[in-house]
Amino acid sequence: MTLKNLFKFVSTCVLVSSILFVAILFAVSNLNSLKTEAALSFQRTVTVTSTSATSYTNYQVRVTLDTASLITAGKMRSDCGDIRTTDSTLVTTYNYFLEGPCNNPNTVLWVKIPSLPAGTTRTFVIQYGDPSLTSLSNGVNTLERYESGATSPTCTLLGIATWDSVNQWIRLTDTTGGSYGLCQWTYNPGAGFYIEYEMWAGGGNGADSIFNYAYARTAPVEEDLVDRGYSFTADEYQTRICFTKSTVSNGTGISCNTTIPTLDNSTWKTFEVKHSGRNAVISLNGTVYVSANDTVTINKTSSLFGIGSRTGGQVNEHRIRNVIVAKYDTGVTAVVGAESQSSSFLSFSIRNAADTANVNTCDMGTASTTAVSSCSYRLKVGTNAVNGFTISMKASGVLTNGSYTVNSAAAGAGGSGGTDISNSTAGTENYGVFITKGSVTGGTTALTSIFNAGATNEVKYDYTTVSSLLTASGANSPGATDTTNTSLVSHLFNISGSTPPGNYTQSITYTVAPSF
Amino acid sequence: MLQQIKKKKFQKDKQKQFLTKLVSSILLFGLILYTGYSIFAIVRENSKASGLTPTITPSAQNVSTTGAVSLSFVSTANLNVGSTITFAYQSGYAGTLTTANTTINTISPSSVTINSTSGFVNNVLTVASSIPSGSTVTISTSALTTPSAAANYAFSVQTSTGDYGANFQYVGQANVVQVTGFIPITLSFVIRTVADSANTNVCNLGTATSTSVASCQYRLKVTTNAKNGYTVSMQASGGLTNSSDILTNSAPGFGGTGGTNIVPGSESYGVVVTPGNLTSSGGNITTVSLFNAGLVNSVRYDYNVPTLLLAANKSNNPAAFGATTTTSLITHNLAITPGSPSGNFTQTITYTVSPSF
Repeated sequence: MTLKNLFKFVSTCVLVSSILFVAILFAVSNLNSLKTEAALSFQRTVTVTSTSATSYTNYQVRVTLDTASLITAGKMRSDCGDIRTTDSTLVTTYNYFLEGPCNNPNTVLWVKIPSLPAGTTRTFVIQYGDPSLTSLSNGVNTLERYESGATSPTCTLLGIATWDSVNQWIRLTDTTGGSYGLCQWTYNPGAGFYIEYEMWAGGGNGADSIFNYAYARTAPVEEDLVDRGYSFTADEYQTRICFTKSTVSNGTGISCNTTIPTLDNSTWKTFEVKHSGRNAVISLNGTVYVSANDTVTINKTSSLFGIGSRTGGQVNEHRIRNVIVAKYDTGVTAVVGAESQSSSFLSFSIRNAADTANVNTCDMGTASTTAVSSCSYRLKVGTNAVNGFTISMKASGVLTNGSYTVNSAAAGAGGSGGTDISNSTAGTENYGVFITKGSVTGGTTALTSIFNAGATNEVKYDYTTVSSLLTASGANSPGATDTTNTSLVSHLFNISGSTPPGNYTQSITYTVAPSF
Repeated sequence: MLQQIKKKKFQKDKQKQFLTKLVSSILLFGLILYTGYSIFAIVRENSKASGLTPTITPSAQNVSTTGAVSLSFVSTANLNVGSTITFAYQSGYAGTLTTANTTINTISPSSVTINSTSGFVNNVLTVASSIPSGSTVTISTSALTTPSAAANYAFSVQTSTGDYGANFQYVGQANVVQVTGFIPITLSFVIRTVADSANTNVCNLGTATSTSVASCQYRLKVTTNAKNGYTVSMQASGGLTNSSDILTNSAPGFGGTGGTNIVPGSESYGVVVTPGNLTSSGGNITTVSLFNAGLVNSVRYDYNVPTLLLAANKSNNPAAFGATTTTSLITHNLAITPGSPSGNFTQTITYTVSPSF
């Protein structure tokens, strides 16, 4: 046994350890690769080109992304919650709505861009790759109209239409004969629009229809009784999909297709209309069944818009849900660019109190002995630094007119301290700052102790060395106009009758240190 | 005997087996330790590649300025020859990075590939000389001109070994807030009643007799935020007169002495100036020597040229009413003899205030 066996035993140990070592080395290497990739962000630039003669504000751009591949590659959260959309400078975030489905080769994403002048090109950016983020998808803020069915409808329900909050759909009609139901808005979409909704018909004996209508002067009670505007119909009774402006019951449409799948087989189907000018393209479950032009230009000045349904002598129950309405123009196209690593994202601006414009001044106006003078601005930091950031301040000195420096408030002391500078203390000279710390989307924020005074007190703000002001523990992705995820700095000034006159100034320099 | 030999051999074998097991166990334990340490070292080495905060120099710059800019960070992984560092900045900067105008730790990169994305210019630099983990990596370029628009521009870095981060170059003081406020000049001067309850422009000595001293008073009330105070001057129309006769004036003051003690039956007309105080801490009002007599004495008050009366060294903000301590009291005193001329005697005193801001 001895030496031979010992040699065998040691050899076996070395072999096993080596295999173990290589296996773990491989695993750790891969783990690290994913970890590094996940900590970074990826982006795609979307180029929106308009050849239209119409200028738009708040145009919804529909793009598709292969989120399945991205999720498989570990670049995107499995729920697509880390998608963010911004302007081309990555500074201003845009509202978006993830129509979905997530983890699919053709995930639909709607992005609302603030303006699209006629005949111009605009770009925006889709970012993803930060697993710490959660979804900001918002149909109501992004789309022209949105009804998920999960919340109380924003449309007016007419006829026998009801909202089923349990099943999260709108029941336009039940199986009562000779009835109708509408989900209607007062909304004129202009020259064109996009609408998509899921519809369900069944439970009866085959009638009659679910239809979208636009530019109507009066609320329609049948799919083919159009009082101005157009209807886009899915008619289970006549088994047809139509683009119509018929004014008679079951009348002839501009273009109809009768070779269609069964509509009333009690399954959810997706109905889509793209209308622009005289043109209409109607699809069912992704297949185009009608693509036609009206021969004349109609009056589009009326503003009743909605989705309707009716029963006749024969009946069906009719339901809708996940209604999406957006602007649409055939002259607008969007192309999603190739993916690139957006590396580290960082932005900082000083904004007015409403967060509508950049500012670099804060004018407290004319001081008086009877009322406090004040001015405010916001510190806005956007970053994908997962460990947050620190904002520091450095003052030129005390507020001064060149020869006299005013009395400064006391320093804060972690939620206490400071000096009350308000109308109630008017007449007593004091200058200080109140900081309303904002939130960050990926963590929490905290004021440094000396800037954190008692609830109604202001703090000393004349530090001439760089002083840490606020720390954030996570990333921040504030909206375009965001008074929540930005921090408000208010300068307040009270004077006494003896405070010398003149123009008083102070410069505050802010710096931001991200922590990636 | 054979049994003893067998027993000894058996014991030897036992000892050998024990030693073999002991050595094997030590070797196995050592191998496990070594393997574990190696794995730990790998994990530690790989986990080093991480986010960082680079330093941008200069961190602040004027708009449209050409000059050297550098980005430094401490690498957490080896940057071998052929590794890449993506040095990115926001579009708006003019200039193009090349191997001739860009260095990594003073050595030109072997290549620079520009891969712009929307809003950013990404310069992929290939490392020409290896840089060990833990070293400060400085990317410098002289190619860039800052944008013409003031803003806080982000520079970012990303290495092929996993280090990444970003920081700002603040251009055109976009990170600076100018706080301003204006305090208007306050300056008011009113002649008030003794109680400081109303304005007044008369001081009636009443009917003079040779048995008593006639007097009247008023207050000079100056409100100002003039940091260096103010002066009050007086100018008389002349002596107290009935148009034909001028009553005898008191003697001038002399810095706390002089003046005339006006007593009944001895014709004399003069003024006692009580300067009062200022609201400003440490401030005071002083009476000019000429009007500063000995205690209880009145001073001559008929100077018909502007004559400095009071000097305040700081601002003053007396209350709207009843400010009897922060205003200056002027007391006119008159005593006559039975031989003093009769009639209505008058004198006009004009006061002027000069603030010093």
